[in-house]
Amino acid sequence: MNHAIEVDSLSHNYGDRVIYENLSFSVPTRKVVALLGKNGVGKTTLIRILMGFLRPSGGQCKVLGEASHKLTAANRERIGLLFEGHLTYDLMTIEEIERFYRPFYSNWRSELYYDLVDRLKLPNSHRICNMSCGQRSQVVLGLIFAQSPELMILDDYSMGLDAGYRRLFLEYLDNFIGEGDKTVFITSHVVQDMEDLVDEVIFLQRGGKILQMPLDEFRTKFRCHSFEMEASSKTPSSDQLITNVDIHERRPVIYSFASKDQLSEHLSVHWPGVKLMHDIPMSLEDAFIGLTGKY
Amino acid sequence: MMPARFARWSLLLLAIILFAIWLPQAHNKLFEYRFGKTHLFYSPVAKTFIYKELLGEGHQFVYRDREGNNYSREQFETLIPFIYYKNMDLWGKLPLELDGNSFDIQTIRKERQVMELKPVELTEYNPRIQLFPLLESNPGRARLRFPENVFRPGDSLEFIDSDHNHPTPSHDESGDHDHPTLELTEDFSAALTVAGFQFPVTATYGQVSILKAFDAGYFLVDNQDRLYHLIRKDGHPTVWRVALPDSVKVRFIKVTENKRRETVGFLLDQENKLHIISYSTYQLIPLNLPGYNPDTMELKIIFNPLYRTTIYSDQENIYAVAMDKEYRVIDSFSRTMAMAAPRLPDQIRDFLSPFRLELRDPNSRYFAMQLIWNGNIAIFGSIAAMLLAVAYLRLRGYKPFSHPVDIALVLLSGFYGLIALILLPPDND
Amino acid sequence: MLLRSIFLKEWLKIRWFWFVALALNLGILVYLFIDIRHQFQVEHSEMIWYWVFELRRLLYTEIKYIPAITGAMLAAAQFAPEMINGRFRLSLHLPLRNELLVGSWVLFGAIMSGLLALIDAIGLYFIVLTWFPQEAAVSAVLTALPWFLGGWVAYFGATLVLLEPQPLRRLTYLGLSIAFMSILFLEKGYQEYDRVILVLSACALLFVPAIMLPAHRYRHRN
Repeated sequence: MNHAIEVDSLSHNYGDRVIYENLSFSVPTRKVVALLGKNGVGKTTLIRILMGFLRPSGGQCKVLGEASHKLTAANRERIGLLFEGHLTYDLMTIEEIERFYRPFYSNWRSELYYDLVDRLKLPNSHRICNMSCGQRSQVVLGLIFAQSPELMILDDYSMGLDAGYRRLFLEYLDNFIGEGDKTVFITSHVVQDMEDLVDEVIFLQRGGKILQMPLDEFRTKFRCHSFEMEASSKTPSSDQLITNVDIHERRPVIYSFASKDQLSEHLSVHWPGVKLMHDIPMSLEDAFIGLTGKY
Repeated sequence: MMPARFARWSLLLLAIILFAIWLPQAHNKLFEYRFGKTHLFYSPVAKTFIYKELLGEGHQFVYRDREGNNYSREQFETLIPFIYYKNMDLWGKLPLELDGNSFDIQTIRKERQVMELKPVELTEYNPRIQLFPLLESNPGRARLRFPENVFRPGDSLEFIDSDHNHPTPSHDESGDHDHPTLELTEDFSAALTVAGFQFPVTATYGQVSILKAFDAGYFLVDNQDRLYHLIRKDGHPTVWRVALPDSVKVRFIKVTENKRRETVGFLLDQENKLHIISYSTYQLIPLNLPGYNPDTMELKIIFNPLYRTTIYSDQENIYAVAMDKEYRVIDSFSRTMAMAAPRLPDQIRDFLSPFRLELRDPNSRYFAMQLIWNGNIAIFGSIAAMLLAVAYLRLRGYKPFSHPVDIALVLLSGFYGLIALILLPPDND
Repeated sequence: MLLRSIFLKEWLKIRWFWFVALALNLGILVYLFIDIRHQFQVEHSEMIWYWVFELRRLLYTEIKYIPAITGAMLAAAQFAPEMINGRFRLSLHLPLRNELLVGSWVLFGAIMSGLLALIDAIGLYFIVLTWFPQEAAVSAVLTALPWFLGGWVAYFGATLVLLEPQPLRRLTYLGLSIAFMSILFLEKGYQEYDRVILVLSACALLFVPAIMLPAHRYRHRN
């Protein structure tokens, strides 16, 4: 199997509000793929559909080769799922929750769980509902690791975490992925965290438009150029080469996947009077905003 | 997913059962009306049967005789002067001259008696804890009183003390009179044995009350289906064997003490023939009652100075047999009551579903889940419900014929099923 | 092992409520004991026996609705937390057939509320036996059977209502449960349900498979 997740012409809407229309993408096995999008574009909805908790209006999703709304117990065992907000059984203690989950999974690895939660320096009788968000996230991640899943689906892991715990979470995750044979599908709106973690990114935009490519490719190809224009010329706007234009910056800029030469030529034909100036270096977050816009 | 389908069918079935119980109940609450239960009498004046019946709504009584003559209310009451003897007295019509005899108020009072037997009193329809107080029949005072013990009919007649809740009182003083209930058990069991009674007791009949003219004790049936009469007199047992004709096996006895001391009650035999038990002689007087069914009919016998009239009825028919004082039949009459006539709301109910479940049987204290068929008219109702179900499913975007179980349920249960289907529509897969 | 694990979680959820319910049930039994004792102090024993045997007065109606309250309470303790933030999804993701999972949940709840009903029944039997012959004690337990069945219906009714995702359907389940409950408390004397209690229990068994429907609907919402 080449793809852990396959989404084919997925549509969904809440009443009249279209969330996606004809959405298709796939997550290759043994890759770490991030689904990036701003708040409210339907990341969590997509995860719910993938896990069979929501029936889409149309289209198909396959997870580990099975239709997502008919996942068998055997396949659920192979999927580690982090629910939004680190949802878990709050009224259990550190020890109880491990004891609860252990019998369900044949490859359970208690040591991975305790390796993580022991660092919290909390007694094993500590109740999860008395923990901070960060501590909780360690517990939940520990449980997912102990399950030793092939596919991890992590929905908005960063919610409620401060920078320290976010970093910690990612380090552990990175280590775990290092063991090999793991596929990870992760959603986030904290884009810079993805820099060292992911192989591919999927940008999800409002209305369900997506862009999927390897992260490296995105980093090398997606560029930001400042530009100047004569008073008489029209302000350029998005077209097939120009991804985005931002004139609210100190200097107006154009974002594009095209090389500088291609873009210059394109501008001279379609937007005479507009002249590219400098290449502006971008962080991943800058690039993300450049791609998706600020609003 | 199969379990989800089974789950929904279970719910549909549950809903149908509950509708079959509650919707007819709602119908009763809405449409039941005090329609003409007939009051039927034998007139010693006109020598015929007369009755009063509520016909329409409101208070439209008719007073009529068997021959169809109508009477005013006052005329009607004058025809049964022994019933309305106080009115007769008020209207100055006493003493009464009838058949050459004169009846004053004292005579009428002395001769009046009513005996009643209802299905709900029968053992089968009446849960009863088998513990009975045996009253002192010679209390030596104006009123009867309950003893501080009850007896448990079984392998002996075991008396249990109610203050100590035990066959023998707990705190024991030495001496031979310290176990009053133990002594009672021995005394009464022995007295029965001496009279030929073979334990265990298989049935016990008596009237548990202190608000009665006197106490006639209990009738007990033994292991050999023989009948015995037991009373407690001056603290001691008195037992009589009651000789029964060979053809008579006891189904039920109702003891009903009356100050006239002519009868002690009814004996219903296993062929459902009713007898009156005479006081003191225990002679059984068989009653000739055509159409009488003790399981569905309430019965009463009205005694007056000239006649004994037996009247018995279920929800549809009423019967009367007039007898003389020696229980010889003089005349009889029966009539279908106005309340039995089918009414529109009943017909609508019968149309809506092929059956209903009756929780309450008016002739029993026990609840039941009696399945009652509503009749052939329900075929049309069920087909209508099924067509509506198909239309409903189609309207909601289902393929009706991919839900055959739903359709079948509606066909079998009529509108109960249709409502259940609307409340619990299928989930689209 | 799995079952133990599932029961552990259910126990953690309901334990305080269960102990509160236990206290409530025992409290009512104590009250019943004191109440009957009081009756026998102010009235002659043979008179009370006459009321009970002949007039069919029930001296133990205090416990009438207790099983139903207990059942609904335990169902709420078990399933209300699952509905907060959609925590139910955590369990539905466990590698176990969902019917087995939900089945074990209600099995646990039925056992725990059944345990309380058993305590009530035994308590009732011995309290009545203190002042009445054994016949009356047996009769009291038989008379209370439909009330215990009411506890069962309340437990499953509340479970259906709580697990169901759609508000209108919840009303339907609530209505069905109330309609069922309403046929269990109609007695006017003792042992009137003796001949129908088995049929009613069989009908109440329909609730067990029925529980799978809201669970299924929860998992596959639109």
